Amino acid sequence: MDYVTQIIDPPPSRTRLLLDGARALRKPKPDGMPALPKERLVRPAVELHAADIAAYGRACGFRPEQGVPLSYPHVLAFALHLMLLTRPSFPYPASGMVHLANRIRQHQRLQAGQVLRLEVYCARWVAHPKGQALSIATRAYGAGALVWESDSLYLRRDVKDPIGEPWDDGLALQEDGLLRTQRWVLPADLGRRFAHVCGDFNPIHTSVIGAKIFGFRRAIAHGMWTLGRALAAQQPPGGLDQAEAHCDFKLPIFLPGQVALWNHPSCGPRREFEVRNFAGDKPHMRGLFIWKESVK
Amino acid sequence: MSDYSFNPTATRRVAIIGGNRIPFARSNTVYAHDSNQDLLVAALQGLVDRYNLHGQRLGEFAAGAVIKHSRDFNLARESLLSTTLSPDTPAYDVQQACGTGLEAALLVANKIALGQIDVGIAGGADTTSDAPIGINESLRHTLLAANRAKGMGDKLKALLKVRPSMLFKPLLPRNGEPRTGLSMGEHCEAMAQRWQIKRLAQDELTLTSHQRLDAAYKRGFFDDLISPHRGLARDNNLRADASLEKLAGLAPAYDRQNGTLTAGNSTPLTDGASVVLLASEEWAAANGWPVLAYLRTGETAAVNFVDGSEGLLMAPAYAVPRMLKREGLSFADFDFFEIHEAFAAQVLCTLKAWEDADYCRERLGLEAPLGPIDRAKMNVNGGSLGCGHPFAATGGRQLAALAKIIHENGGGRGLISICAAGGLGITAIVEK
Repeated sequence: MDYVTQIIDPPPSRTRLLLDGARALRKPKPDGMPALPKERLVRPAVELHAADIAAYGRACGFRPEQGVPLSYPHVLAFALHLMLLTRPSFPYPASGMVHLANRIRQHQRLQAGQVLRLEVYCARWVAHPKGQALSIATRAYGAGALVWESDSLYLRRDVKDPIGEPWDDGLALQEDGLLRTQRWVLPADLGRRFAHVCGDFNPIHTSVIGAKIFGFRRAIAHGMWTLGRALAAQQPPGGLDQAEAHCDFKLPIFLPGQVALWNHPSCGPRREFEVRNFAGDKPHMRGLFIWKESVK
Repeated sequence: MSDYSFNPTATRRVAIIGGNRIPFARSNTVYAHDSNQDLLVAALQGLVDRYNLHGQRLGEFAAGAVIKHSRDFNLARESLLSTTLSPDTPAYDVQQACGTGLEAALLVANKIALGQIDVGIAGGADTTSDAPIGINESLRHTLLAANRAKGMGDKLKALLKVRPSMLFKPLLPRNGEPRTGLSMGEHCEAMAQRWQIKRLAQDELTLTSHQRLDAAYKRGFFDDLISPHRGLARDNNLRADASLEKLAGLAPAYDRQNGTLTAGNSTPLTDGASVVLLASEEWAAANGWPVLAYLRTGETAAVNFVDGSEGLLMAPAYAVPRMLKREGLSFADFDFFEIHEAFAAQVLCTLKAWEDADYCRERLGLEAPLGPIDRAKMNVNGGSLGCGHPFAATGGRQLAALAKIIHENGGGRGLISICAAGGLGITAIVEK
């Protein structure tokens, strides 16, 4: 697919994003075959600010010695995601898109002060049993080399005869023997706090009323917070060189509340995990976290 | 030539002269209005009275508490100033979770062994009735920002960020491991499941603890180890009428569906304090006190429980074989075992681990399992399940009691083992 590169500089304001989001609440049904937007949105030079990384780290429970969180660059690309989702060329209303899964790959160690070129574009269609899914790609380049990438799978429910490659969650995890190893107590204002560090002020996360308007009984935690928290809980100290994180988002986590991390104890740099309710019978996230141990 | 001049002489044996504690009370009962300092003063003054230490300047007093107010930064020193010991006796605080009391004793003992001091007291106190409640974190940050601000205008501007809700959401002490968010009971429940410890075995150990403690009281064992406090003469957690039927009737406390840990076979939150008098043999002889036993050595260990590779309370399983190897001893060389019973399950997990050949080889690096412990030699006068567990006071309780058991026995060797929060474990050898 040929993309049209569009440089976004300066980044859009929060108000701009909210307005675009509101405008994209309704969209006419596409005539015939929907098409993926052809734009490739690019921010040419985004700096990894130490203070912002620290604030993000605090919100998710990362410790300073863990270095730049694997999930952090996602935050920098969030505005581009939202711009893409709210484009007139995007085939569905943004608010109806469900973030289903995310894959992150880091190829090189990230450092505070480093400058990244971020690119975001719709990569492909995915046929999901529940509707039409599509993948949004995020690519981060440092000095010309791909250093970090993420693929986010979004679902538009109830679309008949979805097109694209069939959905494969790729997470054939061994559920037997998962043990509850952590308890996380989530305060009522978690969504608001995380919104300030990630830029995602979607009202389903930040207010009870906002959540109710969109059909949730209470505010729900950001899925990317849950991923960040899970990585923070399992990431070794000393920072990551090459690493991967895969996650499928399951049931929403209502705020305030408490959930638990379930994983296999001491299985080295390959962690299969689930985030479940404390009793352990309802899954909120299923994931896999792999890192390459650095040679000392 | 180096100008290094530290040239210690040969170490000396460290004598345990005696100990004193107040009866332990379940949280929010008899000692509900006592602070850590009140409890520590009561235990310390009782020891001073018993050993006629009034006005004496000792080498040092080391003690601590696990749950502490920020104002108690000098708990040991402040407590000492409220007793009849000479105010010229130095003091300092120690804090190592439930290992506090025994760690304090090892610190004092090591100074005696090195000849730096001749006599000292170690101890600990804890109350969960008088627990610190902090102000709301957001309020605290706001007040600190106002304090940093220059000029009245900026200060007021900072204070405008105070929200009424901040006043009603105080910071409460948490009964959970900071790095996992799980309570100690939940961690121990996971250990019990991993080691397949049966409910009945836990209840049996609990019953034995109560029965032996009751028997020890009845034969007067604690007469010279305990000073009554606030009208309490024996531990009020002790259930002389405990039975397996009653224990079996209790619901699981941490895992309602599949759990085996109950309020009966877990120690309750407890208030109390204990102290131990340690000295050189010369000091004991000069002051006319018999030596109950000697504190030979100690060993601490820690395990990585954060990633789940080891159980939170399993560190003593590692400390004991290391200490035995260093001292050239085996379980056969011991007559008594004082294993702290935080939970019956934790004791049973540790005992099972020492009998497990695979575990001993892979985790402890031993060619052969450490072996079983004869239950008749373990916690012969009851343990924490019976008397309760005021965190920092448990080490002093065990040390004084074990020394007296050995003295009554006309000699012998005993092992102390205590598990602690943070994956810590502390152990010691007492002998005569």
